[in-house]
Amino acid sequence: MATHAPSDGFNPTIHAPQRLRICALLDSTDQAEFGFVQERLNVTASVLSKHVSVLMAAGYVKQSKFVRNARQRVWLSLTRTGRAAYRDHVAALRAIVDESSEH
Amino acid sequence: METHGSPQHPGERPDPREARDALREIERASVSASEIRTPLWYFLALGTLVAPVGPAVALLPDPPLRHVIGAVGLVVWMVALATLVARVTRHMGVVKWLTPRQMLPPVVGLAALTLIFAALNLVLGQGWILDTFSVAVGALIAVFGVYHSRTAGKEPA
Repeated sequence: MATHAPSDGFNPTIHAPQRLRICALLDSTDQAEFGFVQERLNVTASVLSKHVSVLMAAGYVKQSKFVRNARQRVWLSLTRTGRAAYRDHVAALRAIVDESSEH
Repeated sequence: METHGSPQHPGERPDPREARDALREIERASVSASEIRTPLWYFLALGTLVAPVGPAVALLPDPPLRHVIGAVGLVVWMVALATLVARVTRHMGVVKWLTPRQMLPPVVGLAALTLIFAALNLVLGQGWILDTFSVAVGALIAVFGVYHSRTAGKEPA
């Protein structure tokens, strides 16, 4: 492993596997319900909550809460910064793979 | 399970194999999201909501009753539309706009319908032509729904 250059788009916050999958799901949609993401990732609510909190603290994900029939629904979406950071991160991963295939 | 390297080395780049694994995970998640399709019942309900607008407007009585009934009808119609959108959103668990590629067929269809109805109106000059335009649009939405439910998820997002 090599230490990453800060400007190359590689993002350690996003790179953790579950967070990467959360970002990938949210990048493919405009908003996704918490339960939907949980089901697609096949993780418990507390695990998802933990990762979402990290992404929210970084300013990459925002959540909106709605109450209907006394039941709260949480919708997640990538912020503009989060979408850009995620796409930069994917580009950085592709660059790593491409570099290796060139050598 | 955290598998591609970062937890132990949060500030370090993955090696090419780990990067490839991560990209594979991304691809899997993206495919999973692209498989979500808007249900057919939504398009059928939307078409049913749009179709009667033209004939209903044509049947409105003369003013001032026309304005009152028109305003109430508009409010009821908008509430019905909002309810339909809210219901499909809850059902799908995601908010996801159609891609430009998915939007192309209905946009082309709508443009063609508009031209046909405008030409018919110009040539025949009969009121019923424009009154039935919404019926044609409603049918177009329903037909697109069938098309979308058969093709969504099979094409690149």
